[in-house]
Amino acid sequence: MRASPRATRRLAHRPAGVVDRSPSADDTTSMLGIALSGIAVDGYADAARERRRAGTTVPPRRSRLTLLVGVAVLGLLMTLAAVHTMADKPEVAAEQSALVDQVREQTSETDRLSARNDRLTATVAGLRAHQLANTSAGAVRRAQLATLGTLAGATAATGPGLQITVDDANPASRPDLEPDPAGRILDIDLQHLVNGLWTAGAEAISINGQRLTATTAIRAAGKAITVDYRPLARPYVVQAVGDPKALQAGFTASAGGDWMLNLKATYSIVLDVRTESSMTLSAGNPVLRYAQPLRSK
Amino acid sequence: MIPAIGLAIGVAIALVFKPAVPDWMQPYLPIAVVAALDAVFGAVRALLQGMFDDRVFVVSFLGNVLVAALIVFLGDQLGVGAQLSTGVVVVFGIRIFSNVAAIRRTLFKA
Repeated sequence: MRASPRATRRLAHRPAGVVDRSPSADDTTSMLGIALSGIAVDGYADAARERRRAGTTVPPRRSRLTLLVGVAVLGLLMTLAAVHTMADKPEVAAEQSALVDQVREQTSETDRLSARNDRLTATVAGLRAHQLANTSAGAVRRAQLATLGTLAGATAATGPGLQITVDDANPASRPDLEPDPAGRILDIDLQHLVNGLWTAGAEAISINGQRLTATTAIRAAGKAITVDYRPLARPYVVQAVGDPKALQAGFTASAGGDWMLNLKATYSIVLDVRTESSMTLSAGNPVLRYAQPLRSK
Repeated sequence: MIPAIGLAIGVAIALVFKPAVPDWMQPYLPIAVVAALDAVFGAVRALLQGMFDDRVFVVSFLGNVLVAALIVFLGDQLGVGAQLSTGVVVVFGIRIFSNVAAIRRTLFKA
């Protein structure tokens, strides 16, 4: 096949889009342009030029075998890559679902053990109360234990109080609205809220059923908020036992209350405060870690 | 015609014999494919412009694949394998785009 005149002309006028290396383009040459100028090297055009210089316009006889083998290798390569990518997919998915299963399993195991722990703690408390009830000194101790246990979060707390429901702006109930990342409840918001409630005189607080103790951390892990390293699901329900009126007034006046009301005004987060005549917060498990003096040998 | 037959043969070999790709070669396979695609689009463009030369095609095809794999291999040894892979993909991506643009202009005059 002869190189058509059109092709030759095309060669002279390089199509736009192929980087122009003529001096006139220097004015507008950017760093990127310099970096990319070598990329569009066209081996076929060079070969055609070479042939023209040698005085032949006819391309060398085509080696059909070379072409056949070349294209066959190409097909082989692409199919192999595709097959491998496909083959890897189910494996990856299986591994992932196995991990998810493992996480679920361990979580339910943790739940089971913590329920057992709660039962045993209750038994111990019952036995202790029984023993202490026998003497008058014991009765005083028992009353002290009850007060301190509630404050420390070691025993379940019952009484009237406030229930505050907090959620991101535009929660799932309004999927028609664009979720605003600024309206997302963060760990620091819950920290302020809880601190506000403590300031207002709350005796016991729990978030989504997780009792807060002196050692409980409210933290963020990725996009989730964790309490005692257990992730919470939205909406966040904060329950505080205490005199409802004093709690409500104190919370509104506190820095934490101010913080939350501000968030509600600015980002229209969900903030719903209700008084409850009676609620029961389960016991938390305050884990104390004791410092140990270093032993010198 | 010959390219179609060659392609069919290659695909058939891959599907029927399912040659095992050695483990050390697997990371380079996708890069090699991108390099091969670049050679293919360059060839189609040359074909449309009447300059196709199968020696250039085979040499550029094999050269692309080997050099791309070699660069990524070197990168892996130097600890920048992922970054170099990205670089190789970007360069071949730009070439593929400019070749496709040339093909489009030749075919549709636009």
